[in-house]
Amino acid sequence: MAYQLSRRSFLKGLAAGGALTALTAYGGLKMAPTAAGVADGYPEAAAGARVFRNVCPRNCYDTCSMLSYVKDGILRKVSGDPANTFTNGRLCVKGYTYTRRVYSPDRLKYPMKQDKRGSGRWQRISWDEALDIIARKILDIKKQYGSTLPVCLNKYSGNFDILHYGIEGMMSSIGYTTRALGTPCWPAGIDAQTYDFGTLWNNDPEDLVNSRYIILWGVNPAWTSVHSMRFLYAAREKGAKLVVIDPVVTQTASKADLYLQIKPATDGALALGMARHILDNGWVDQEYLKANAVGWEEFFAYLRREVTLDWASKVTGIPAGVIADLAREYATTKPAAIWIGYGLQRHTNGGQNVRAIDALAAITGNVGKSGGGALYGHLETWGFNYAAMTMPKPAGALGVKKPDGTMSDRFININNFGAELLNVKDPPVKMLWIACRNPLSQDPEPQVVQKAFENMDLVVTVDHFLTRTAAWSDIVLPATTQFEEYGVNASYWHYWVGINEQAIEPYFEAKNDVQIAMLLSAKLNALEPGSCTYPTGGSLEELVGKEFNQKMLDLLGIADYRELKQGPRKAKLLTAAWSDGKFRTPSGKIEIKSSEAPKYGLPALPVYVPEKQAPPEYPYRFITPHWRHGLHSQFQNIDWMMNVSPEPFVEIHPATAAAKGIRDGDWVKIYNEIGYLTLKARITATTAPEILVAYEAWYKDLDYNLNYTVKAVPSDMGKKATGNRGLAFHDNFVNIEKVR
Amino acid sequence: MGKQLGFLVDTEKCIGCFGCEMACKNEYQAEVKPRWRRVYQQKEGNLPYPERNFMSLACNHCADPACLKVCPVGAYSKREDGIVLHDHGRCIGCRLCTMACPYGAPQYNEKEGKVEKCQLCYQKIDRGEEPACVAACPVGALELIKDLASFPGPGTVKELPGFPDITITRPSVRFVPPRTGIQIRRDAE
Amino acid sequence: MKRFLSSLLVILTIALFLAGCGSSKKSVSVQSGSTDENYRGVIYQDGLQGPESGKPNI
Repeated sequence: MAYQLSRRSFLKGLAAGGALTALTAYGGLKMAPTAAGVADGYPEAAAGARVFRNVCPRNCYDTCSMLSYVKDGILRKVSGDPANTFTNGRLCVKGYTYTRRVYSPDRLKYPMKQDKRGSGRWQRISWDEALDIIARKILDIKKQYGSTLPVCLNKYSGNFDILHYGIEGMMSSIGYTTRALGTPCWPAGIDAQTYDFGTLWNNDPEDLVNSRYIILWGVNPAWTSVHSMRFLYAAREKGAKLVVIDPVVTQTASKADLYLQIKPATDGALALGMARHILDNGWVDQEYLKANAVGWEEFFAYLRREVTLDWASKVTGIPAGVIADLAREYATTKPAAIWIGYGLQRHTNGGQNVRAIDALAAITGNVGKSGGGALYGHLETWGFNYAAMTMPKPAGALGVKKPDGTMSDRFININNFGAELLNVKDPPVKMLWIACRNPLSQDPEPQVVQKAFENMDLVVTVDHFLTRTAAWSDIVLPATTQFEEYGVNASYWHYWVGINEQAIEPYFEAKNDVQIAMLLSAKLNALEPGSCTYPTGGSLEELVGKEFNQKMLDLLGIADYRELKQGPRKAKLLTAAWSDGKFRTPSGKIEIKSSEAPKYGLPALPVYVPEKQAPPEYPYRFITPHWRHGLHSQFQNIDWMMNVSPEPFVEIHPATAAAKGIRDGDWVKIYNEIGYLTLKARITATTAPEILVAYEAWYKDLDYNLNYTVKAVPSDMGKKATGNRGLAFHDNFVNIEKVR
Repeated sequence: MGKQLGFLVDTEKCIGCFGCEMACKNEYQAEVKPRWRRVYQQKEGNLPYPERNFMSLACNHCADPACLKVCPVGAYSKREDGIVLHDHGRCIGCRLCTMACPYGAPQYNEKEGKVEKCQLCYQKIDRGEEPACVAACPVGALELIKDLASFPGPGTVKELPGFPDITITRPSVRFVPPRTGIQIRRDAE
Repeated sequence: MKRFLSSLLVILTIALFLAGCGSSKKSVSVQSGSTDENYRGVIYQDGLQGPESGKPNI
């Protein structure tokens, strides 16, 4: 009883002191009775809390509508928002850890300065001092080099809230700078769908329930889009068949009616083999093609000339009879949907493989149909103003001169950041600003990125934690979480858009990217008037309002953005993408023969481009997909997550393990010519004999970064729509040995 | 004795996402280590094909709870609806229950020096709501059985490989067994 | 009895020492890093024109 009393008095103190004092002992709240009559000591954490609307801003298909429960200024728990019919009031394993992310003892509280990069000798500094160092460096650079081009921004997907594009705006507001351009994620597939349809646009995923046949091709929603599984199951309950095509037996494959273990990167050959069989059996939807497509005659000629079932079988490792059955079922069970994953385009022939699958959907008339489609993703709900991003240059700013006499920023490839940073000259890059990004963890070749850091005068990283990148920075600035800021978020998969309300005060001295930009602007202008055009005032909510235009409002069926405070809205798009037949290609049709692809050095037709083969000295393909307990380097480090998933492992096929004398739980070393990794073996026949699988993540206190073995080999596509080609993450070859 | 509440664990639908386990933690902002609900991976060899299959278990609120029998201070009680309640105030942390339970449901919290376990979200049950784990499952693989005695459960079973002997405590849990699809494998021959 | 106890103590000490040796020899941990300190990456030239500016990284 004395114990309970002391807990109660602790709670009182906590309420009075507000958020700041509560943090260290937050985990102890559980046993504190919140109401009289709770005799057994199991109080609900959110009793009596006020509820706010949030959106999970992580780089994820599901972009969950969330509710946050706040009492006495403290985030007590989180839940899904039932107003969103896609996420359906549920979060995922990661989302449910948010209280521990917000109040993690590892979270950055103050701006800090490091004595020597990587030394770990950190010193707390004030925001003013941090901004003073940064602003003086920017002005010094401008003086020395005559422009701000030596200042480089690397920012991507750590937080996809639209206001976070304000950090790009901050860079624009100081002058012309160097930018890491592109996306590591999905560019090859984006370009493939751009060549074929004019852009990427998937059917509403809630429409999957109307499918009678679903092929999940290189996608693992059971881990990466858990809310989609409900629609897949609902379709199955109505009689649909679920087929999974993947090199490994993923969690989704484990739930499929039919699983095909394809050889990695040969998906195009499978699609073409199916297409040939469909053509031979008269299952082509001629009417659909005549009305909606161009180039199909030449495609069919190519199939007849070059493609057979036996060839497809030889390339893919799937028996010809199975390919024939799959082709028949897919072409004759309508509507049939194909969900094309991002994993299958992370190859040197990845975009080309996506184009072959697109063609398969087109020739069977499955494009533009409810329950059909070649689903990849979309940006139809991302038509914001990007007002926070769009800033004028200060007077006299100099950049890269273009042939027409105008000036521009300098772009380097986000997907080969290390090597390009080392290589860039006239002027070199001397200062890095890293936000929503963790290149020393998530980039291929982090060892090269680290080398490039050595040439920098100043590296600034804005983050929640002392990530691998933050640990190699000179200055770290603490960022707010979504609960501590205003924002607005869209998904690249479902059709919902939601507002993110500020639910709690910022953690210690954490600030939002836009607020940091405002402070930096004030500092720069104090030191050199006119040196920065970024506004120095204005609330984040006002800025959210500025992101909306009439088209966005109409799409959401609202008159004012504030209506989103009543709940997220689903965009009034066509349920079946392209059902209006208005393709955005130059011809206005599905371009099975692309008019644009040859301009980018690519075949016009979705012909097969052979997959990359393993070199003899590194015979194992090392596939490094997303992890169930993390999103890239986020979440796996949180204490609740470490408790259920304490260490990484590599999945090894029993035959390979036997050949190498490796038993389950043994320590193994994975290596190639650029990097190595030591971790424990997990023997499982969910992988194939020539494939090793480990999952990319950042574990607390573990020196785990599988990207040391991953070379920055580009995928085939991405240049057209995203500025740079993607990464062939899964064309990575290694050897393995037991650690004795 | 009135009705008996229970859990239906659908291992055919379960994707082993750990959402239920973390939703439980979130609901009570529980300490890091004890796992009131826990997701177990099934052994690959138990299934016709190598697959990733899971079983999500919490306290089974047994008809004949061993924890209740062995507790020397009467910290356990069984409600009318069958929920086995643990009174944290009474618990002296002797850990007899942790040894008696075949399912590892009561767990010792070193930080508190006491035992704790799933209470089947009885406050929510009293308000007519679903337990946090059930409400969190994205695929409907976890359900609350309102009355086990009249649970028809076609296609459900009382135990699965790896689940401890059910005759000891008569756990209030039912399972839908996993359904295996067809795998076309490259290592088949 | 005393002698028995002292010899037991000696055996125990040796056993503990040996166990200590064994465990320290086998201490492997999760590690990752570079295998070629001179590797500076490769610049992949594609000679292609992409969009020049103003595109948010999505």
